[in-house]
Amino acid sequence: MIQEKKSKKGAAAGLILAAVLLILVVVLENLSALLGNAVPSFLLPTSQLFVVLKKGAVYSLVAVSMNLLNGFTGLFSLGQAGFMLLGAYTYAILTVPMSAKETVYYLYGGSAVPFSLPDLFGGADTPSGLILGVALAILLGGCVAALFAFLIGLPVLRLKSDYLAIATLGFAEIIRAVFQWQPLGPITNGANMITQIPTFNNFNITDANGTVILRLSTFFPFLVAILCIAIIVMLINSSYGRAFKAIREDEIAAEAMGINLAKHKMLSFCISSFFAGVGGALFAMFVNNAQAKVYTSTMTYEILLIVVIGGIGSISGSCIATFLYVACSEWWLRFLDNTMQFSSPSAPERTTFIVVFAVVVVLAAALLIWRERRGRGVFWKQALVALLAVALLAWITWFALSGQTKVPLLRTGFRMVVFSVIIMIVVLFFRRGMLGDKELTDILFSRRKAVGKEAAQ
Amino acid sequence: MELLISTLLFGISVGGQYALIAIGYTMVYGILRLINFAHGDVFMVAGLIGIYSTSLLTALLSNIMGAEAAAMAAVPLSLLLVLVLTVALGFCIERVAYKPLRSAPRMSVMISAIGVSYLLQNTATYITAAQPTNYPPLPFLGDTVEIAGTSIKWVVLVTPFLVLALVIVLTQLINHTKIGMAMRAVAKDFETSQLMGIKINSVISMTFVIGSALAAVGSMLYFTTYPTIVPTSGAMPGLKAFVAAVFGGIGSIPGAVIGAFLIGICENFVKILPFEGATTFVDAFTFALLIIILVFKPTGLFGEKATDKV
Amino acid sequence: MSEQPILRLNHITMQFGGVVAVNDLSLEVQPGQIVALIGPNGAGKTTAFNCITGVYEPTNGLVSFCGEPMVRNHPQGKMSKSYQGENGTLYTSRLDLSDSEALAAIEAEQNPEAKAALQKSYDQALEERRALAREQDPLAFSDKVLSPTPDKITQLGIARTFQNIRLFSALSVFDNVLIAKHMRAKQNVFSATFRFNRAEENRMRQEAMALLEEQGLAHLKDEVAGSLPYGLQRRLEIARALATQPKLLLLDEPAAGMNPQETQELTDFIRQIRKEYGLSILMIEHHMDLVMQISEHIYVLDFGKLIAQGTPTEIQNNPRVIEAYLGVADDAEN
Repeated sequence: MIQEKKSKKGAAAGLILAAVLLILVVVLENLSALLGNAVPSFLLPTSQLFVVLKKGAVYSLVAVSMNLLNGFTGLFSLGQAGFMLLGAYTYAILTVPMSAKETVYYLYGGSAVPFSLPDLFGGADTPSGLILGVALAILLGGCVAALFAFLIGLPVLRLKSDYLAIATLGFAEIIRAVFQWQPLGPITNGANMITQIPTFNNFNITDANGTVILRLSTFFPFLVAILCIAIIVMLINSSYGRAFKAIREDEIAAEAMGINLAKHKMLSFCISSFFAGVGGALFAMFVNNAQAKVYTSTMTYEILLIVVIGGIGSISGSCIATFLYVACSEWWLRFLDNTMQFSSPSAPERTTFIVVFAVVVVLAAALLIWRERRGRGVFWKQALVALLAVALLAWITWFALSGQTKVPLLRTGFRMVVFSVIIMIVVLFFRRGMLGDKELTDILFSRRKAVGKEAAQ
Repeated sequence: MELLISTLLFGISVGGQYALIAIGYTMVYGILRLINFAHGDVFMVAGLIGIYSTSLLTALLSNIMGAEAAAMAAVPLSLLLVLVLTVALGFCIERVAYKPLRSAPRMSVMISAIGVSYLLQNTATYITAAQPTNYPPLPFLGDTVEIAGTSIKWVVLVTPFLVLALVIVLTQLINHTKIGMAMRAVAKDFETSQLMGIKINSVISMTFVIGSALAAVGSMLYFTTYPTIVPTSGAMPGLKAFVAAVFGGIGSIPGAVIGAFLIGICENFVKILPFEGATTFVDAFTFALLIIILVFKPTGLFGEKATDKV
Repeated sequence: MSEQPILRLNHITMQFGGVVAVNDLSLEVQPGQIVALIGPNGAGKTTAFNCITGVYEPTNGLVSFCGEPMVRNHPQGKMSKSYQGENGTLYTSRLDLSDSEALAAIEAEQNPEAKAALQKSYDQALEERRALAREQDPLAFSDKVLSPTPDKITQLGIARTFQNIRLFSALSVFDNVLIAKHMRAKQNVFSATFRFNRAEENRMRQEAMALLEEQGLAHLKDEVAGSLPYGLQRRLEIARALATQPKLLLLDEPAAGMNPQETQELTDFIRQIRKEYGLSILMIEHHMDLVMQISEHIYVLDFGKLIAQGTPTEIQNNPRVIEAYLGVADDAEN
């Protein structure tokens, strides 16, 4: 069948993409070691680039897991941070090395968990202990999240749309409170963070002197995230995935097609939570600790934002949006947080800044005015936009003439303001997200098909 | 006994403050089916406006009159300013962030709300330089009074009455005026009321204006009780108020008010429960209560039963 | 072979609060028959469908499928007090008006003992009536409530279409049909995800494709279902229902919004699928041409009650049916 061939084509493309990505990540991370000082500064191991890549990998897994639920099954759930917390804590509790338990849990006189998974396999310093212990802990993190999802799903999955959302959000808040509860301290370390757990950096291969010979700290989260996302994609393309989509489209019709709503909703909820739990464990590795107060509803909103910006019902959209989002917030806009001073009133940078500013203002105003051409009562809107543009231009002219060298507004916190403005613009202008409900492969292949058709004519 | 009374009074007062925020949530939801995540942050911004306008007005007025008189005159003026500016903010948010998305999928509008919430929080962080700021003490409301052996701020006593008065005015407005009738019609059926010639946009703007005005009043009362404002100050009260709205059946104003009072009272009693770390569970308790209620009444206490027409 | 009806409704009553939407409806569909359920708008036809397919839990009555009880309920708890259906007295203790007046009188006198005694005798009488009813029809009046969810009923072999089309409109035509194959697939979520059972998946696809070809929809298989023209959407909905491999097909106004020519095509189509798939069909329809042409038996509902049944010719000449559709002659004159 053609249908299957197409999905095979997509699978092959995905496989190649994943392999290329993994190789690229390894190469990128080790370029500085290979080339020495010749590499540009953003490739150094301390560069923000690798923070973005690591966090992006973790977040894209969580975003895809949320998309499975919200985009493919049509269940509006806001419990993702709660399930991440469960995964993170399970991972952290199970991997604190025996030797560190005293110091980590010093407030409670040691931990109530008398073992550590990496130590069971020979310690976090040995490859077997690290890989087996960490893998098992991550897996268990997912399982614990799925188990809790099952328990909470029994009562709440009957709820409709927004009621389900607020119930799951509430569940996440409850979980957060429980993990901060003092009497559970010997297990969860109360409101303090659990530290000294194996992190991504443990995967860097070192020689006898402790010098790093092969960096794999970015490779590891990529590997796990790609594996998990691949599983989710396979699930979505399977018979069960079609059943999920049927539920999203029309619950009543899906039921009339013999799909057991309760069972399939629960299945989707548990699977999504499992991967959120895995994502949580990875997040704990990323931030080097597990602390309940990090996993707030703001985190869930952030992930929801990513999912919607990428396109609800698009896996590749979620992934791309994650990396753009993380890169924007953590890396590209960083310069906005620092005050900037031009060397002199005639410095070329200053001229560039003024010109770019003016051009952007004029273009944006023109675009807005042009968009509002039709409809009633647009005159006032156009006038307002024009007025605003003129004011901004007047200001930049004043700035140019006055000979000031300090760029105004730039100081700590400005980055996030600009970032949220960018998000608002994206939300308002890309209503269906960047990719809609299409996948990147769909878009690429269909374009090729269209080109082929044109060539045939 | 004294503890119980003061807890009860405090609970009622906090409940009243939640109620004022919850009405904004529930009205917007009733009309647009939108969870207005930015509402809690509008409430926080109202607090910040209060702080900045008071200090600004005091400085301005002290040039004209004496410092003493300026401080006296600045507070009522700034409260007025808070009301006006918050209403303007609510109105603008609706026009800029929600109106262009009226035909977009429901999720996009919600994301827009989250985006606005982000923007307000981040802007507040930027302006306050991430430093906590203190709400100016309001005359009379901020003074303490001795009741049943405990000293309580006047605001605690005044809040429930003020809230009830506002709610009565609001229900009169909704039940007996033309715009109120339009609101009820739009809440019942968006498209049909459009066909009946109701100006949807002005009704929606009105909803946001009322919601923001109530949030502004709520902020005055709330921040007199808890005077420290940080950019995330709006998040928890906002969430609680939203829970209250869901609790009472989202879309129903009396439901939201009753839900808010219930949550306010319950959470204050949880605080004094005699077991270790009870305060950890204040927020969690609210949500646990919500989940339990939803399990038994899936659309809240007074919510309309959702019927799927087959 | 004895004629075991494929579908049988006994005393089905559906009450929403005080409104009795379907009142004591009993009907039968024989194997291979095409049966029509007609009646004016709001007569309770779709409600009856929803009771059969498990969307609603009927307030009273029994639905049996292939001789097995499938849906069964009788008013219990609070419902037994407010139950108003035709055989309501079986479940309510208020036996007749004079007695209830007597009860009120006793209540007024505030004599708790007499009141309790009377209440007891009422309860006893009720219990006796119920016992009698159980004896008469053990299947219909069993205490055991059966209320399977719609998906269970579909799995048993009843498929339906909807009055206002309910396709999975963002999915492709092929996927719409393929989804119907999901419930009978022999694979769990792991084997499906990791493709352990490719043969099963291929079988599902082939069956779905074969069905589309039979229904003449094969060339449209990659179209988005929601973008199809109305007539084809109706057709796809029927194809999708057939994909669940039903024994009985329920069609809810299949010809709604169709012109005479399309209706004629549909008539042939329904006959054809009955023959090809060995189906029994129960349908709701307003197009009398269609109904009279293809149905072998017709049931007429009005205000939730069955007012007539019989062959098309009998129904055409039935004065009560004419009355229900056209109103009473006297009214017309006034």
